[in-house]
Amino acid sequence: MADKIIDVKNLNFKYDDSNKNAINDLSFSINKGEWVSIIGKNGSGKTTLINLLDGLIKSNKGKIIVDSLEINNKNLDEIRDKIGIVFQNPLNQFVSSTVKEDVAFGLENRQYETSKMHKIVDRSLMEVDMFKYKDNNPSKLSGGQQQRVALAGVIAILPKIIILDESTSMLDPKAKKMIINLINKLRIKNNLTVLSITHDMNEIQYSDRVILLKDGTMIKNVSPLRLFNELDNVENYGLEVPFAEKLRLKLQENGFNISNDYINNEEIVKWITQYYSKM
Amino acid sequence: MDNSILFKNVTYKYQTNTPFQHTALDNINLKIKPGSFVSIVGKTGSGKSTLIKHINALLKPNSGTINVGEFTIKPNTNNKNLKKLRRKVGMVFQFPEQQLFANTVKEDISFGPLNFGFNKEKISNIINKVSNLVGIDDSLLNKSPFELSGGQQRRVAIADVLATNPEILILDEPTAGLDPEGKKFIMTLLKQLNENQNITIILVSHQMDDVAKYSDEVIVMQDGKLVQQCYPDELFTNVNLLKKYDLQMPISVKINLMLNEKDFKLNDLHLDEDELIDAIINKLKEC
Ligand SMILES: Nc1ncnc2c1ncn2[C@@H]1O[C@H](COP(=O)(O)OP(=O)(O)OP(=O)(O)O)[C@@H](O)[C@H]1O
Ligand SMILES: Nc1ncnc2c1ncn2[C@@H]1O[C@H](COP(=O)(O)OP(=O)(O)OP(=O)(O)O)[C@@H](O)[C@H]1O
Ligand SMILES: [Mg+2]
Ligand SMILES: [Mg+2]
Repeated sequence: MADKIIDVKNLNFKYDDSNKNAINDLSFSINKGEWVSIIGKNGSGKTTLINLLDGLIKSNKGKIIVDSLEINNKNLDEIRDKIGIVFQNPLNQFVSSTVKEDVAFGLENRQYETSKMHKIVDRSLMEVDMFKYKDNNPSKLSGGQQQRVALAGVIAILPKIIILDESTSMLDPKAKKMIINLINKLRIKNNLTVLSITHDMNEIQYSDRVILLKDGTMIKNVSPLRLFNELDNVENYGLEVPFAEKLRLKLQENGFNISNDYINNEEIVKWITQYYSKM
Repeated sequence: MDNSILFKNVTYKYQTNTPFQHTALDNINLKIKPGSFVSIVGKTGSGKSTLIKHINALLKPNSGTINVGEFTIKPNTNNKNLKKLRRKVGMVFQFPEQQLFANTVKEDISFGPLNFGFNKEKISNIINKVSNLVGIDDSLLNKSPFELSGGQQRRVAIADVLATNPEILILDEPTAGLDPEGKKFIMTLLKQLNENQNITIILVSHQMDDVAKYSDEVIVMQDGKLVQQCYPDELFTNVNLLKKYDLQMPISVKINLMLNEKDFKLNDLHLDEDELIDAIINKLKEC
């Protein structure tokens, strides 16, 4: 049986000044080593959910079990040791005046020995291609550079669970791909679990599973390939259908005989050219 | 009024005379026509945000001059004279939190119009109008902007700037953090402001699909230098240029290329996805 690393049961959360739940009776579990994407409209509760998982806010009802520990007031430090979060805005994350001290912060807290710490910091900065900025002030970098430093801080620790909250939103596509590959490599090598909040419909294709939220409620918990097949009205969830799917649906609408299955770019191009050459 | 933007030999260095000195803009020359929709692209750290901050004099050049309509910005330009420039040029920052400050969303949006001395009724109309434009629900207006989700904050930051009714609107990755529907919504809004009100739009973006679809002109930055200024189709049909500047191919161009390789050739290039889909279907119907 697969090993559950996160188990959430009937979780509810309401912000004090609000009259409705930001997280609404949520239940799901995540297996060790999985890559799970969390998606949904702006304001659907994604960031709130991860703040609950990390114990930054306290649920009103329900249970969260992280790596066999049920979160309570006494074990927050222990829980947080297992989780590394890259926040939505990197500026909220920086605590030091140099990049290298910032990346070292999590290691210091975990009482790493100095020489080992330096080695890990250097390696992490190299992996995100920010080594040459190690003496700079992290708040005096470009937006994409800040995001990479924030990522370095988390991969330095190699926590059991890595949570990314739109952590590559300011990166150019090439840098984005590099970071996704890097995290995936670390995940496989160290059997880490990755939870990634994203609005990037290309990025979700890399994940094992997608959790779709709406108004704090879970709408779907499926493989990314099934997502668009299973949703009738994507606009309800703030999503957009990928190009190939859009084209497939439009072909159907126009009376062409094309399969009902999810399709990617290569497949649709193949279909079009075959249809055309048969004419 | 002629709101041309003109950079003449503009150089900017961060942290001059320190070990961290960094030339972020290296002898930039460019012209942006009034009423155009211009996108600025380039890798992380190439100088895009630095460049746009010169247009409303948030940063002043170490050398060179910038003209924005009737204003001239030089290394020694006095901050006192910038109020009118800042009214003309609205800017949405890369990280929205940097822009938000008031106790409520309503107050945040009112700040600009209040400064212009508008009366209560007019301000209340403006709040309604711009919050609708960017998709902020009325229920959020009395909340603190710091108790919103990331995407909601982004929308407030855009609303703040629209409330000042700028003639030139600069946006630094305005769709980062927005859900896909919100992205489309905001891009359509920008195009409408550009077409219907002749507002100059300057967009910094990594989303090549949007850049290809919406802009009249593209500026490519690389290591602090302006390396290309051209029409979107010139850039996006030239695979060598895209490689050279590490830019992503828009999906429309990519599909078109894949079809071409298999001898399915369309007569025109379509940078807009929906137009491409229609063109493909029409061609299939013909046969
Ligand atoms: N600190 C807070 N106090 C009160 N309400 C909040 C707070 N943070 C978020 N909210 C509200 O809770 C809801 C969920 O917000 P959350 O930040 O979890 O959304 P999200 O899914 O992460 O959205 P986004 O994609 O925009 O980041 C929103 O309606 C938001 O306005
Ligand atoms: N306040 C600052 N102090 C010193 N250097 C800075 C500062 N802000 C930016 N830089 C440096 O100037 C260069 C250009 O930064 P800029 O923010 O203009 O890049 P950008 O093209 O907007 O990148 P991104 O796509 O990541 O936002 C970068 O190398 C960056 O490290
Ligand atoms: Mg969020
Ligand atoms: Mg920038």
